[in-house]
Amino acid sequence: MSPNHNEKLYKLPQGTERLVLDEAFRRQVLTHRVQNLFTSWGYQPVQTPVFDFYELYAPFLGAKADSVYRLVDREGDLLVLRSDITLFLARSMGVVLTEGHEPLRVCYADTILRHQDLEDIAANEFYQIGAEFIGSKGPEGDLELLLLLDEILNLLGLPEARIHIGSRALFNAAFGALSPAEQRPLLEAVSLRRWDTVGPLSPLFAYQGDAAGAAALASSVPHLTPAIKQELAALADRAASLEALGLGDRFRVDLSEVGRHDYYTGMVFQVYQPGLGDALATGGRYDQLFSRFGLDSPSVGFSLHLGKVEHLVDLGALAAPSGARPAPGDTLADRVKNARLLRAEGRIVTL
Amino acid sequence: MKPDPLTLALPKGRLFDQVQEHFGARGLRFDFGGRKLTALDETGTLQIILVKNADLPTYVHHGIAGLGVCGDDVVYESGHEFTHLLPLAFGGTKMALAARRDHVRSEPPGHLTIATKFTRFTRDYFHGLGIPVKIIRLDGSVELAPVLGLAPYIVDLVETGSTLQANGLEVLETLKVIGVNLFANTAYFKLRYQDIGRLVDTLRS
Repeated sequence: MSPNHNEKLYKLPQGTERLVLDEAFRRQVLTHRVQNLFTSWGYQPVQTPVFDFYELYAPFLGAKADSVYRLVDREGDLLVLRSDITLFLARSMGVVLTEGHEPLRVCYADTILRHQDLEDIAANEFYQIGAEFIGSKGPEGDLELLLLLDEILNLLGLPEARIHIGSRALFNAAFGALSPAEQRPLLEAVSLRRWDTVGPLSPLFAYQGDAAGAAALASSVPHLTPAIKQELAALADRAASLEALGLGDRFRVDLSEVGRHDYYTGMVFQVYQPGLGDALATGGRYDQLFSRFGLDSPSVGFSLHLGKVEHLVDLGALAAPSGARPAPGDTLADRVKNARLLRAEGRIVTL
Repeated sequence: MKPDPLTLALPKGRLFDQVQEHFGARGLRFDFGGRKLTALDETGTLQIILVKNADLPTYVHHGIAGLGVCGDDVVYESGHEFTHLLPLAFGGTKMALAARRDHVRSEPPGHLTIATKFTRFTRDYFHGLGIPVKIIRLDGSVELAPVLGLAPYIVDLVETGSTLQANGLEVLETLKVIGVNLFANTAYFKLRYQDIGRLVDTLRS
């Protein structure tokens, strides 16, 4: 046994997690509940590969390229471990679907693997559960995903969670003429609310509030181009639809939301929960992502880091296998018989 | 119903008294009696926790405290990104490159050996200029490094320069002016932006 055997035994490599017993059971139950909800909304499951060819994903990784795990297969090809399910799903569905396909609703629940700094391990970003509506064009697709996300938050018992909706299209309308290198610091400045960098459009991107207030910006902020006004109106309309459905408390227009990934092209959103230092779910519209994988199809989706909220969810009076009792009986035959009866009543029994 | 107090992390040490005075002058008075590390201000607006300067960004990053006050240098070293709320008009200092007054450049051109506590800043600053640096990490009394021959250069915070002077060192160059800021965890800001906006208005007055 090597001298550092114990060190290796008690340490986990960065970027993965271990869940055992009650914790693992909890995840299984929550995943199952969310999957049942997906099913009832007509979403079909997809399982993506654990690794794939790196070169297909390299253009989308951006700054995150540092955190992915790469390996070389027996043929010498460079592979990447699944670090973001949206990308792996686009690649999988891109080759399965054909142009002009019917709109398709899919969902997933899977582990992701990427390097995380020691300090970021507490962020719990190892397991994503999410949904996508492929081939969804209009505002109704955006609204469907937001309504589905709202139901998941209800199912998990998170009434205080807030969904902040913004728009990458609005950002593009304002700064799309700049080069990608010039856009990058502006994107960061908008999302971190560094207004001295953003400049004259700061009052627009600083807005947080309801649909009417967002719509009013078109006249209150000077020098907005028609393209900016159009994107602003599109977003305000979606927010107004949500308010009309009685969900005004759950949603907020937040124009500093511009999407964490460059593949977003339209509405974007993030979910915030008191007590969590980072968003627990993110999503939006990405109308060009699939075309990079051979399918020209608009899409909208979200993914939720279940690990961030598992500890907040009240499972109720759920019987867990850790509370199992031995079946009564002196002989194995008696115990098998009694165990069958007790299990039929819903009890958890060992032999 | 009065909202829950906002959570704020303050650093122990040189800044604390100035923060306490600045906040107190604007009606946000608080006091850490004895050895307590948490306090509520008199108006019930702020729940304050007292942490070590270098740990402050970690607490805010994880949302344990929603808001924080500390110098740019500490935030930069942490590598975390926050929502900037308000620069505070005290506690400012500068990050400087210093060496012995009698130092003679003996390293190969374009190469620097630097002792510092601010390893991330130093690496990024000199790499940004295209100058390779060898960094020796120290946690305190950095002025000793050139005196004892550990490294010819140091990067450190300089306020009056008297410590440098006492050790026979001089500032070669100011690398960055360091300010003190009130900042927020980005997710926390999203949830409490109205309350935080009111706090910022109070502190700006």
